[in-house]
Amino acid sequence: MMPRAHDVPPDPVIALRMEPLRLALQGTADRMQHGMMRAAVSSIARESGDCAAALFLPDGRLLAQARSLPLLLGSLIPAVAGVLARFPLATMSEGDAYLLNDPWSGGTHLPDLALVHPVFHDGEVIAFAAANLHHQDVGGMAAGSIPPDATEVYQEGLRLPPVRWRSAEGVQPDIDAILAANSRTPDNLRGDLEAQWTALTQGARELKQIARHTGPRFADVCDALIAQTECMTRAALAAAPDGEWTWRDQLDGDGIDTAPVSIAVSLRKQGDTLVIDFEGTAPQVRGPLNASPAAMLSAALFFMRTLAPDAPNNAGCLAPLTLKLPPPGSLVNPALPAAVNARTATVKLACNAILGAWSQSAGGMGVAPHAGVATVLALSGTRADGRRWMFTEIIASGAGASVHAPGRAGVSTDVGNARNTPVEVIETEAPLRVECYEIRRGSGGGGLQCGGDGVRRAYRLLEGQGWIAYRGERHVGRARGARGGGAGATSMARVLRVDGAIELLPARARIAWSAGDLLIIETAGGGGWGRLAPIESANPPARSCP
Amino acid sequence: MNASWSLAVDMGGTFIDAVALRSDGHVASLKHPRAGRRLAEPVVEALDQLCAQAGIGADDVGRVVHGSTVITNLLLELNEPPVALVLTRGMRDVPVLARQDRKELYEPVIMPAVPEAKLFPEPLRFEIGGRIDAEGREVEPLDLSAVDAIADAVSDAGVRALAVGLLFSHRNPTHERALRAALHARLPSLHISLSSEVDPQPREFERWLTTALDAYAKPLAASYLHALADALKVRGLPPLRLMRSAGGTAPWHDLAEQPIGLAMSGPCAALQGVAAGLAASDPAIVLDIGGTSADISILLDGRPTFTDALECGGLPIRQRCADIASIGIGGGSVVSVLPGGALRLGPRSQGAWPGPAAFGLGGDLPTLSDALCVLDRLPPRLAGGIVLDRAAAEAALGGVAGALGLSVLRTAEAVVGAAAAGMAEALKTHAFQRKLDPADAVLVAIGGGGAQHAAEIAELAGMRCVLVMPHAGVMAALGMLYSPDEGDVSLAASESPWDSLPPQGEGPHSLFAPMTTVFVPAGWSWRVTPDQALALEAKA
Repeated sequence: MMPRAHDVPPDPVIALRMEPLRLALQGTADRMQHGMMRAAVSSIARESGDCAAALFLPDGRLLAQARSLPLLLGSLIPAVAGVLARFPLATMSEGDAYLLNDPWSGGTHLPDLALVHPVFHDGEVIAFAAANLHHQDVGGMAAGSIPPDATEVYQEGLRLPPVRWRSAEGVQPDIDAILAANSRTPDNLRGDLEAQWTALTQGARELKQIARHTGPRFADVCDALIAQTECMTRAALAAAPDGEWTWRDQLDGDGIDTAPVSIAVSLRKQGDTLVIDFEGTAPQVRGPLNASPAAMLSAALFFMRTLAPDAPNNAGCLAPLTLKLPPPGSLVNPALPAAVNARTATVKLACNAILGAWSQSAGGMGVAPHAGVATVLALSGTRADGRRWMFTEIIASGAGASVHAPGRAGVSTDVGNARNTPVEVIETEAPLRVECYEIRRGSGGGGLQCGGDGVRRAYRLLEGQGWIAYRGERHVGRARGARGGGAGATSMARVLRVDGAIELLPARARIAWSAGDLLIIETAGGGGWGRLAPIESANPPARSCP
Repeated sequence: MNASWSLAVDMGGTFIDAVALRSDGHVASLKHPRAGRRLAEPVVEALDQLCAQAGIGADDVGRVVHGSTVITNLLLELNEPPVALVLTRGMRDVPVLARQDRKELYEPVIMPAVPEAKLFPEPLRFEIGGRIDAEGREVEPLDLSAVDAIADAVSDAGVRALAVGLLFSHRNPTHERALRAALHARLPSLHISLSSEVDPQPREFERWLTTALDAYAKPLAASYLHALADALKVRGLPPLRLMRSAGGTAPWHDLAEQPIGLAMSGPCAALQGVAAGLAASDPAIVLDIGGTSADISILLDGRPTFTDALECGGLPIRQRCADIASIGIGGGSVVSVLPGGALRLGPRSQGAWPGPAAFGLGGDLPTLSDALCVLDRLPPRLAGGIVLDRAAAEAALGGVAGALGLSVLRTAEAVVGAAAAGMAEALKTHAFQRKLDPADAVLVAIGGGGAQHAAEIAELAGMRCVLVMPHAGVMAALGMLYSPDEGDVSLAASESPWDSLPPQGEGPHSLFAPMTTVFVPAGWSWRVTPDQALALEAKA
């Protein structure tokens, strides 16, 4: 028999409106996302989709999210809470929009500006439309506002606690002047903020229409959808055995020092509740890999959403969760003035540590940790005729295996979802020949199910000189397997010089190369699942990885 | 031309629609159940029946046009044998790695982007040396010495079709052509698709996958189209022409050579039919609901809009085709309740076989059509002769009702409401992404189920007016005869499918016209317009 949400007979008026409202909210959030990407000025938002949109209830509970980047989606929840803490509902007016990026008021890193807009219907706030977007430059010590050698947030750019960016009269001139004066690319900043505003107004317009269609009980139907998600998430937790599982992993240094930085997590599951506790994680680091609580919520929300992926996309999935971060001064709860711009690597590793811990529960659920590496490669140079060129791409690694399936090779996992750059695009834009883009066979962890393989990409510089800026991960640490499965291979990067010399690259490197040199990048493999039985007969039941 | 009749036959997943159009505008049509998985036979049966019913002899027929979902369904089902690929050295995994992103963000287990084992398993992916650069210059000659080993392996594996994908072949196809010639010299009966011919545009993954799917469809497409062409020849009918995804028709053997061009054949035909039949040139959103899917598209200035990318069964295909968003909601969509009490419609479909429970063909899962049946929104007897079994529909919905804690009637309302919402959301997303606010457009309903849901969808999308085209149920077949290269045709105005209905009235009301069922919700009125469309209008 199919389980029921309620023991009391449901109110048919609400029951009839739930699925249409779920679909309408999801559609609205997605259209906000599309509108923002269409209107965005900088390519990081327009092409790579480094932006996110969501809808919230007046009390700050998440109502629906666009299908975009989990890394950014999760951090909108603390952003809305940050706005509400500074601007109570009663102080808000129609046409307002609030802006923030401060990691100590609900932000993540400074280029991500969150914008929140109250939606009024019949004189009352019925919801918030919210969007964040990675802006090209918000000042600081380096163009792009993600300085790899930053040791303080003050070096990373302009810090904005929640401020009123716009009222019914338009953008606040004072705020606009401060923003423009603090960016190397002010037109870009203004244009991308307008793209966010476009998304919020589209969302608000649609929400009012939805509220009209749903009728006077709009808020009740919203509550019912959140309760439904909570119910589905709790059911998934209740179906798993109780227990406590821990996982440990490490970053290849903090961007300044190369000593490994450890992340520890324990999961305590009891009944239909879960505690995720990062106690034992390294203290705050000097480099920019610190992750604010808002950033860490993305990792936790991602995991909670995977428990019942068919559930409505709202706050209900967080109800069974208690997220515990160490006191301020931790890698995952840094104290002012920690540098935070490179928090993505930390959030991805934390997310995979949660997956690793969960894979130990006796239910045979979940997946082995993904390699979780999103290698950022920026190649630039000067052609023989003096013209300059540059391009950046993100290279994915292997996914973790699960009880029923091997991990996928070369795929964006966990809180990221970047696409690759086609070979024909690279060779058209840069004097490079891509000699291979292939699966790095055997790099996934072994086991009953093998971890996903990393990939190999090789680039030969055809003319002139150039620079390689490489930001990898897992050159030292490996994605461990689950339930006896093997660990994935580490990442490797090397340059074969035209004279035959081989130069190995560390996890973060900037080196020169010249015509004829070949750069080979190999990304890490995902963890395997299950121990291979020792071979006792001529027909072993398990397979080994190719 | 002496011959006074044109024949069009559209094969959908559920029914085959056949239409005969006389030069004076007279129309005869029928719906023929596809019954199972047969391909050429039911098409021929439908034509035979239509000719018999309308008294048309082979000599009276000037042309026969066919549109088909055969290729679409083949790509959805992937039951054909895999194909071999020959790709540039170092690139044999490109079709598997795809674009490295994933579709479902929160599914713990990440699904492969492409069903590798079904389409082109690793042992059938070969590499060959030779490079063309971004300017189309040869920078390394093609290594033809590898051809013998590839031909041996392909032949040993019993592969019937092969796709060639070389970098920058869209700039310079000489390597791909030389490779085809060398392979044909060894294996004359091998079907070969070249990426420089199927999709000559940059970005290798999309071009190569499209080419691989073309090769994948070729053996079946070739035998089906040959069988059909032969059957027409035996009957003395004119040579078969096919409706292309990109609009217009082409001789059948062109599409046997490049079957991927048929992927949106039927939906494109329907759109052409609407464009020809609509008097006004105001923006229109066209909604075509069938047994397994709903298609949404836009007419601007009275013309279909086109795009260069479509998706079929989750696989991206890059081909010029009518810009149609297809979602998996149709009459056969299965209703389910997730743990936690969440109602869901689809993506599973009962399709035509075994079909909704109410059809009495052996299906016992609850579907959208069963919900419509319970709400008395379907006629007792459907086009094609199926008599509905209401008790079976109620029984099928009983489990869902129990899980939701609602009565069967309320459950049916919830199902129909969810269907309307799902289609309204797809419609809004499609329109807004093309910078059209649905509120500024009229909704045109076609297909067996379009008029059933159109007014409810319009209301959700903020639209005030729905037009149901005459012959809405066979619009795709009719549209084939309106294709631009077929010359002008027009329908006789005297023929109205609405003759059996009151010419105007107010909802809630179900109108059962031949081949079309129209639902007029409360707050909406209907009237037959002078040009024989049925207009539904929201009251202020």
